[in-house]
Formats: sequence, structure tokens, C-alpha cells
Amino acid sequence: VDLLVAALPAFLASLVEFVEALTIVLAVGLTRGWRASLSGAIAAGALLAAMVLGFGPQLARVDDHVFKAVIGSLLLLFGLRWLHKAILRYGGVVALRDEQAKFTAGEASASALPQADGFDWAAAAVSFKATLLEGLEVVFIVLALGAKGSDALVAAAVGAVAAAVVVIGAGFAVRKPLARVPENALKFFVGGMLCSFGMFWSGEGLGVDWPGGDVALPVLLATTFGLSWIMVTGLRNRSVVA
Amino acid sequence: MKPLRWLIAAIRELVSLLVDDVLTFVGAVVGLTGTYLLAHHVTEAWAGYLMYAVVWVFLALSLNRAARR
Repeated sequence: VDLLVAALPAFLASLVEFVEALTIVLAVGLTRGWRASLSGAIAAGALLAAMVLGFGPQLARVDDHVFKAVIGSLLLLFGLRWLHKAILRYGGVVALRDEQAKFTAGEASASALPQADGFDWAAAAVSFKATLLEGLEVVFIVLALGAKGSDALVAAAVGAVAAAVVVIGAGFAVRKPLARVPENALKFFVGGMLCSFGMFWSGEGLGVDWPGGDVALPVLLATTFGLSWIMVTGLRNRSVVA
Repeated sequence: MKPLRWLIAAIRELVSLLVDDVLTFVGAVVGLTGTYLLAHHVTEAWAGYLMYAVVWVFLALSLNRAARR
């Protein structure tokens, strides 16, 4: 159960975030040099790990209801943001994310960075910022999906680490942005899962007594994906009429 | 732009992004708590589903606004 509820969504969500961070780290590395790019990414990774190690043990002391309300709300926010974007893309309102175009834009902005005599701080800072922002989402998602207990937390962390290994390995092998990852399908699927889990946990945290207990979770999942598809169809029909 | 000035601008942008996220999060928690209190007042047993329905109304309105732009 932990594998399905925590590890799989954590793996898929982290995959999307790491691919986005990799695009920037690669663009900076190929344009400005690997030393600065990797230093920035590693520094951000160390800061994120320190945050998990620092805050993780403290979370056990937080009241269960407060914890679920806070983490559930975070999951719901991330999920809604992802689902919103994915529905607009499937509905034909917004273009699909083009990793190659993002990479080209990243290369252009990396070339325009101020030049330094010694260590390339500007390039390191860009790499640091991209990794930190994408990584922060991964940290929150892992903490949220691991909210059910230590087994779930370990499963979610394993999912995220596996995604990191896959993305870093693939990026190291091809030295190109991972444009063939089905980013929108992943965002749609994971966004729907995060929305449903987020609603369930934030509701429990606030005091909701879900009819049927844990059975409400599959009901929320089915409702989320059903409504999302209705929205996509509505937007597609609208674009055809327009 | 000089490296130091660029670095300060980059830090300012990062802090601004994080502050935006924190404010959005606080707004979401306040909004959800308010919705729960209202939903609980209307129906104790189905308060969770009523909350989710409200969330979906907001999502649909936001999608509609984005599609019109």
C-alpha cells in the first residue's frame, strides 16, 4: 500500500521536478562550465537535505491534526497548480511544455550572465536557484506523501531518490534535456493524485469525518480524474467552436 | 550588470518567489478552514465532499478565466 500511495506518486512528481531542474543545470553547464553549474546544484541539494534532516524529526512533535491540515493544504495547492496547467495544455489553451525550447532559452540567459574573473558565481547562482525551487517542491511532496507514518515516509523518500537517480543518470548519459519525458501526462496524473490526497488529509486535519473512512480516497481520486477530463473536453470543444 | 548587483537581484527574486508561495499557502489554509467551517455548518457528514466541490468551483472559474484570455 505504501508503495502505491507514497512511492509511486513521489517518484513521478519528483521525476517532473528533476527533469525541469536538469534542463537549467545542463544549459548552465554547457554554456558556462560544469564546475559552477554542478557547484550550484550540489549546494542546493545539500541545503534541501539539511532542511529535511533539520525539520523532519521536528514534524513528529507537531500535533497530528495540525500536521495533516498543513501538509494536506500544501499537497492540495501543488496538485491544483499542476492540474490547472495540465488541463489547460490538454484542452489546447496553452502549448505543451517544450523542454528543448526551455533549454535553448536557458542557454541564452546563461550566456547573458555577467562574467567573473574567478569562480563563476552568477552561473552557480542560476543553477542553485533552479535546483532549490524544484527541489523544495520535491521535499514538500515527500513529507506530505509520507505523512501516514514512517513506512510511508521511507517509501516516498525512496521514490524521490529513485527519480533523482534516473534523471541524473539519463542527463549524464545524453547530455541533452530530457524532452521525451511525457511531462503533461505526468503532471495530469500526479496533479490529480496530489489534489485527492491533499483534500483527504487537509479535511482530516480540519476535523472532517470522511464517510467510509479511507474508502473516501478512491472516491476522491475518481471524482478528480472524472471532473478533470470533463474540463479538458469542455476546453477542447470550446477551442474547436472558436 | 556587475556580478554583485546581479547576485543581489537574483537573491531578491528568489526571496520574492518564496514569499509569494508562503502567502499563497497561508491564503489556502485560511480559505480551506473557512470553507470547512461553512461546510460543517451545512452538512456534518458530507462536509469534506462539500469542501472539495467548492475547491472545484474555484478551479473551474480559474480555467474559464485562463481560456478567455
